[in-house]
Amino acid sequence: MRIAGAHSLDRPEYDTKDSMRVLAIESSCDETGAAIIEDGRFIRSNVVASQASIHERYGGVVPEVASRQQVSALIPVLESALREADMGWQEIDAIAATYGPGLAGSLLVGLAAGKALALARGLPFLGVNHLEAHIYANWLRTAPEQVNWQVDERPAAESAPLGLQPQRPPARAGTLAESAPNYLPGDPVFPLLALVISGAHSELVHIPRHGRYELLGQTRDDAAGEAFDKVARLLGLGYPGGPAIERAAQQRDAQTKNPYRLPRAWMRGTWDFSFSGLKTAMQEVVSGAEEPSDSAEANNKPRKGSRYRRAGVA
Amino acid sequence: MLIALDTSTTVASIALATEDTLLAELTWSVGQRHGSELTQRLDWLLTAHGLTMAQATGIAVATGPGSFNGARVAVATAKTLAFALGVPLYAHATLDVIAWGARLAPDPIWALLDAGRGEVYAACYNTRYNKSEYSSEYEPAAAHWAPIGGVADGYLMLPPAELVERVRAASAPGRERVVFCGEWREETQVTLTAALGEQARFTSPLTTRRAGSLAELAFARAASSAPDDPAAVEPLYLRRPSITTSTQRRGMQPPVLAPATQLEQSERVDLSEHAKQSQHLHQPSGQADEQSTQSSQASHDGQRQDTARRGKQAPGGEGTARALRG
Ligand SMILES: [Zn+2]
Repeated sequence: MRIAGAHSLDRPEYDTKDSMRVLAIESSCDETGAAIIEDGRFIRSNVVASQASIHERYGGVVPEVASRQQVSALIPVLESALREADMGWQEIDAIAATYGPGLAGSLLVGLAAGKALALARGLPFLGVNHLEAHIYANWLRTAPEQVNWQVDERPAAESAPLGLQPQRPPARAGTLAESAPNYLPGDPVFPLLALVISGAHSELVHIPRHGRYELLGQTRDDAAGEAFDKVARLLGLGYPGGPAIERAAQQRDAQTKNPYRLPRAWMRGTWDFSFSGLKTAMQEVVSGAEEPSDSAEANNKPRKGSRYRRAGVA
Repeated sequence: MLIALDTSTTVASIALATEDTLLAELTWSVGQRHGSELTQRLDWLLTAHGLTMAQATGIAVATGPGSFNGARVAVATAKTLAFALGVPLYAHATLDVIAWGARLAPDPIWALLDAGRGEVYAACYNTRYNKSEYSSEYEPAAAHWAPIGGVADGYLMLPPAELVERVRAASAPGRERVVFCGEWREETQVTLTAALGEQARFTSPLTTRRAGSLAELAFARAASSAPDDPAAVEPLYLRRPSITTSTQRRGMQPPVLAPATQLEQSERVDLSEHAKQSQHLHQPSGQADEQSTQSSQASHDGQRQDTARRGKQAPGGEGTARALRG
């Protein structure tokens, strides 16, 4: 049996002896994350300390509160990341940390920790762009032994280890990614379109190949996640807004026609979005300025949430 | 070799020391560049003196009060170094470090730092050096160096005018001088001089705090008590966070401070009001902060200045002269 993948070719058992492992720290906002990633692809451990329950009380992230929590969570999260991967310092080859964009006070903590680790252990330090990291998370997989390996059906000569055959032609014309040394079946194939959506970002990015980004469109006002948070607060659904609205929307009766009409976030004729008009429309719905004729609808949060969710993601 | 780190204010300092030798020390005007300069200069200082990280046997850190971000950089760096190297960590309040550097002045010594918003961080230290019946037993001991009122009540945040009252109350009759050391605004010195006259003496800005003093305190601690837990050490903030939500998006206006009034946690009912308030939210109560902190993080709650050794606590009340405990 042949297994596709750079380090696993001709190896039924994944050999991690020569692997490169990066301990990566993420502290750009209200969560403290540490992960150990092997060969740029495999998640050996992934630990996240969430502050959602703290920020829920404020209906959003309070930067100074978030920064303080980062300091508190730091060591427990690093410890857990090593423990979960069952690794010691001697097995770590490099340290990475998010350098931004994000909340300055929060970023400082992860960066300080990352640089201190690199200095203490004599390892290289890699600063990583937050949005690039979001995009590249699409290439991450659980640890190799947990991967549902696909059998490579091609003849042996074609799927021989790359080290022996560096000129291997791409499996299909134009798909450079598939000829990349660490390509695995199921990987995203270039050119790609990435939609980065978070509490702070709404960006549509064209990626012709690794490391090249062309910003096609972005929000002209609120970020998508921010807009979801605000509307969830309007509806009294809790924080974070995205999951809260999702949950509420699922409770709605799919058979009934939703009486609310909301504008779409997409700005016609561009690749940009606008969430503020949608938010204002939602405020009007909530305050009763736009009330459906049926008064029983007045307090139907699931229905409002459902309509909002569709308008926001459409 | 002990590595002592302090980036509590716009002045930063690093010391590399053994118990009887200051191997290297760097004190510089860091501005707001704490994050980009601390590890870089530590690396440079080690290299320049032929030292390596592997020689480190302990880490000392000044925890503040001071710049929130500054204290965070030093604390995050120090706790990570201690964790990664497996060496003990010693955390000391920045005001302690300042006062220890000035301990040979006649007492009482007031260590001051600017707290912004018209307030100062302050702590008073009794050196007993000017007692007429001087004896060596009065010599201040580094291992027990703490402000009057102890670590629970000794660290204050108050306006200079109130500091004057405190200074008067703390000065015994017949005491002629009060020494102020640390960093402050000109207005603060004007207020103190106007109220205390000749009694007030100020150290020069060039006699700033040094990480060498921090190293001294840490060595004394190492000899007498257990080190701090890297997971539990927190900056000493003294001031509670101002509750403004994130302006994560680029190009947004700066955060607006929340009204000082305290609102109930259940204040989610009036939706239209919330809409008007936009993203600016309510002031939390300290107790609520404690309660709803995730259980998994309960022991690391940012609202608690939970240094394992001293049990420093965040301020609780709304008064101006705060006894700083929560
Ligand atoms: Zn993100």
